[in-house]
Amino acid sequence: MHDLNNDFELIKSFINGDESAFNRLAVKYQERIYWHARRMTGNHLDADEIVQEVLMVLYNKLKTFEFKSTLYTWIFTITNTRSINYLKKKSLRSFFSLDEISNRQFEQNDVIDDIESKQKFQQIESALQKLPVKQREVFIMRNFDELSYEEISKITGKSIGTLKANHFHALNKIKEMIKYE
Amino acid sequence: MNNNEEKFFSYLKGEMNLRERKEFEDELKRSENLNKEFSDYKRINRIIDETKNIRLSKDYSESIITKFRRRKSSNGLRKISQTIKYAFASIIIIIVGYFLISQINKENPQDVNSLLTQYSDSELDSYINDYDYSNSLEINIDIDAVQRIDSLYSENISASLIESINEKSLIDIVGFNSVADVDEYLSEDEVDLIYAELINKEIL
Repeated sequence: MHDLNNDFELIKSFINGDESAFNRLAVKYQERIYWHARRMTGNHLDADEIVQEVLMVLYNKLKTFEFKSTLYTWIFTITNTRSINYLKKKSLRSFFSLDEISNRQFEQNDVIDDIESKQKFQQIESALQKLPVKQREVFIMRNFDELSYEEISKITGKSIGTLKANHFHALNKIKEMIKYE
Repeated sequence: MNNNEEKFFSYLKGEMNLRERKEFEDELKRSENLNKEFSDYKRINRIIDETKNIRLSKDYSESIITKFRRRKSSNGLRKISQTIKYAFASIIIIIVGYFLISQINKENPQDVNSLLTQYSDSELDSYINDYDYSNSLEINIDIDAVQRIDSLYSENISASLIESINEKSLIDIVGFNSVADVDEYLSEDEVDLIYAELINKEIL
């Protein structure tokens, strides 16, 4: 509740012209935006671009936010949609060989300071990228964002049954891929 | 599809009440398969938990909002310059389009004159009898061609009038443009003949 009041106050200040209020909102949510985008897309550059796009959408649309959901849910929905769009564009570009995918796979994760964390992250990131997008999406929301199936259904617009089925398959594949760790 | 994931999720996240927890733990003791499945789930969950709270580097974290502000101001300038470019391009297209359309509608005088020499007088007659065609020709061609057309027109009128006189069809004569102009196309003898007929028929 306190968080809701805080978001509400920040939005109100921003609408009244306080640009620093937007900065504070951005700093509050930027890491969650980044990590969701990163897990969905599998690379830093795309995740970075998505963060910027989501902040731009927030900046332009925050005035019309009606608090029908929490601000975080709204931000999360935008981030997820942008990530899916990016993946679709990426798959088209790779189909026409417009993108050097192989270079991106060897990109350094230099946004993570700790080496041990970096290695663990690479392991899970590599496994996530082998999942089909719809399985990856529900797996990330369920296990990293700890959302209920009802919440995931509201965000993605997919039925709970479909989500459970996709998650079941995703979990089995991840277990298989990380079998010997 | 045997899906115990929800039970595992609820148990590990502490969402089960006391009774539910007891039931689940008893089930685990009874079923080796469930136990194995739960162990696999816990292993994945542990790996996920270890990566879940990784923080971004301080440098990158601080750069996000700076990059956003920079991009926002350049977006504003880009939008203005794009609007100007689109407006300019639209103006050019309108001007070029207007120019092209006016060129298409404007017939080349030389072409029309060469067209006149390609056709025989009788063929030209049939064109001239079409008022719209002759009117648009007159707007777009030079004086020599206009005079030639006029002479053909006069000959045509004259021939038709003479035919009417020979057939004594006074209505046809009167039907030509204006009676007052009829005598422009006729010789003096032909005009006398008309008047004679008119007197003869006691019209005058």
